[in-house]
Amino acid sequence: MPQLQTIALDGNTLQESVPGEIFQIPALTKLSLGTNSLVGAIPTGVGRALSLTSLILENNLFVGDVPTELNQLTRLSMLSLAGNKMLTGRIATEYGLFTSLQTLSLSDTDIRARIPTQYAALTRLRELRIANTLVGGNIPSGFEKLTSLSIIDFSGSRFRQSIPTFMGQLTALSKFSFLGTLPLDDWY
Amino acid sequence: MASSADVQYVAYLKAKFNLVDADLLQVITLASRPSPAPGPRLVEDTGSSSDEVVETSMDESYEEVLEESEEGYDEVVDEYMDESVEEIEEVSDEEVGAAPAPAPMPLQTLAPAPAPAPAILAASRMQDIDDDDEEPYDEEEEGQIIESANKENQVWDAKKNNQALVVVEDAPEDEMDGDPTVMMPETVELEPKHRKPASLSQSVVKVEEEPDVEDELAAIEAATSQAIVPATSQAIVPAPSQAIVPYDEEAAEKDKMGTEPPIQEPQEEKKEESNPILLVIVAFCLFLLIVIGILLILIFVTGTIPKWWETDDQPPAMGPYQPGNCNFEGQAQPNVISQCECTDRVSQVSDSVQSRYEELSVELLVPTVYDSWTMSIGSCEPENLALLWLSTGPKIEDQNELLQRYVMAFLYYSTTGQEWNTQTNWMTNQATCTWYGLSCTGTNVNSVELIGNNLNGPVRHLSLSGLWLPWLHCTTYSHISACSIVSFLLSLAHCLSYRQSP
Repeated sequence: MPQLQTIALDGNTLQESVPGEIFQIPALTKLSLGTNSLVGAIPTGVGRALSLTSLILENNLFVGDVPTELNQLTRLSMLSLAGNKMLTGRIATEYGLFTSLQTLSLSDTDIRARIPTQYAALTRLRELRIANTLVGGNIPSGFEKLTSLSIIDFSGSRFRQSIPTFMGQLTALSKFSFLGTLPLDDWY
Repeated sequence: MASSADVQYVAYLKAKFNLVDADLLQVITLASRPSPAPGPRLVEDTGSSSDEVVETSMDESYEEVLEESEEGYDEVVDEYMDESVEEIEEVSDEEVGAAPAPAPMPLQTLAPAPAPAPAILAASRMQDIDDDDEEPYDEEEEGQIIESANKENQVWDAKKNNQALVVVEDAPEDEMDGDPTVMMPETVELEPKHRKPASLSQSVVKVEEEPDVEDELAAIEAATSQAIVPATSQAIVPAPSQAIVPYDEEAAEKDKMGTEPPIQEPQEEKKEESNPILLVIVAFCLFLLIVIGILLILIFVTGTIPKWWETDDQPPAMGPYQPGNCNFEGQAQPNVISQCECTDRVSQVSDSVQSRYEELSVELLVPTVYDSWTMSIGSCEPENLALLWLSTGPKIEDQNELLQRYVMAFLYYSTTGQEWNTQTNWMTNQATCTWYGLSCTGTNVNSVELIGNNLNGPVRHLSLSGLWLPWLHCTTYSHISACSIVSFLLSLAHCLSYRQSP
């Protein structure tokens, strides 16, 4: 099956760990195994799926650090590791190079660190979900350039800074979840 | 006219052997006995009155002999003649030194002929007792007959390899229809090379009465029957076997056709027969060319080599899954899931399914999907169940379709497919592209979307032990029977490009 491009088995009861060989499918562009009972670490072989544009491993039981090999999937437009509460690691600055990225969901994980300033280059980003994580700090400057953003979910994370006033320039924003102090003076 | 020496010699013989005139006449009559066999005889009428007298006398003697001994006719005559001739020879040798030595007379010339010849030129040279008293000899006619006979003999020799048949073509009809008892006054002697074997029906029985014996007989006849023997020497009618019959060309030709093997016609027949054989060979070659052409077209169009030599022993389709039903009676190949639920193993596999199973495990799965196949046929592992299912039903030649079906069957059995919410066309003979949740580009599955379909099982089976490897593309097309050499080379180049990529 050399032309297999899509594997979407979400919402089932698939178990055990994902075999690394599955990322060796040459034409695989979409791998969606969300909402199953997958365990183990995300295979390091994921870095070989260079054609992947969508990787959805949310709502499973993955453990361990997010593999750095994931940073090589520069064609990704959707990356969802949310719902894996035992998934650890640092939020990768390299994601800032995913210029095609439209959805980044790291909610409900143990990923930590600050939001890299490189994310300001994700001009096509529409959804940014980093809720209930260990990510904190400040919202980096330059986010005002993410004019495609429609959903921002920082709820439950550790942002201590007030909401920057430049967030007001995100005209496409329809949902913004944030836990912190509202900079009321600057918004008016 | 008999000479005085001859008369004296006859008188001497009579005195020596106590012969009377009747004896001598009887000898002469026996020597000139006409043939009892049917058939006309060519007789040349000389018109001599003396001949008629002689013939009448000879016929009467002949009848008398027949009356005396009907049963032992041949024996009596032969013995009598032999003795007479031998005695004459002895006398001739011992006492008549001037007389020519008599040559042995062939007995067949006196014996009845076994059968009349169709055409005979029997030329008996009858040595006249006295050449001076002989009737005027027609040399011209004799020359014509000899020439004609020689000519025919030459033709016959050429055709028959010296088999004897001498034909007198220009024998006059009136002569042929003449009285068979009429003596032939003139004889013709052919050259020895024209003499034909007497055993052949067509052969000329050439009576060549030795001149010495004839001389003796003629002398006896002249000496003992002065009243009836004229001065002219008469030729003794040849024996029946020597009878001259008119030559019938048509009969001879028919006889030749009936008895003799054809000489020239077989060659023509062979030529005529060789043409149909050649046509058959050419037609057969053309038929072979057409068959080969059709085969090449089929191979080119289908990309596979037809295997007519393989027996069409189609394995049965797998029976339906019936939860809790462990009664497999009447099912050629019970459902493997049912068997595993009942006995934890696949215990009932038909022979044809097993044969196909062994074939596919070697030709399809190793080494394309697995490095080796060591699984038992009775195993309930999804890899084995998928192969068992693939071994049932109609045989599929398309290797790519086979692999797709195996992968999907593997997914089905590894995720409790029998419990899926939707199973439309799954595990049926329908093409995989029609199965629920599958999308195709052409005949190749490019999407598997079974979201929320109650798939339950270890996801590790999705790997299929390298089923997704790039070289799978290569090995899929590496089957010579599945593609032409060109497509094989193209796929090989494609594979190399895959492997060289980082």
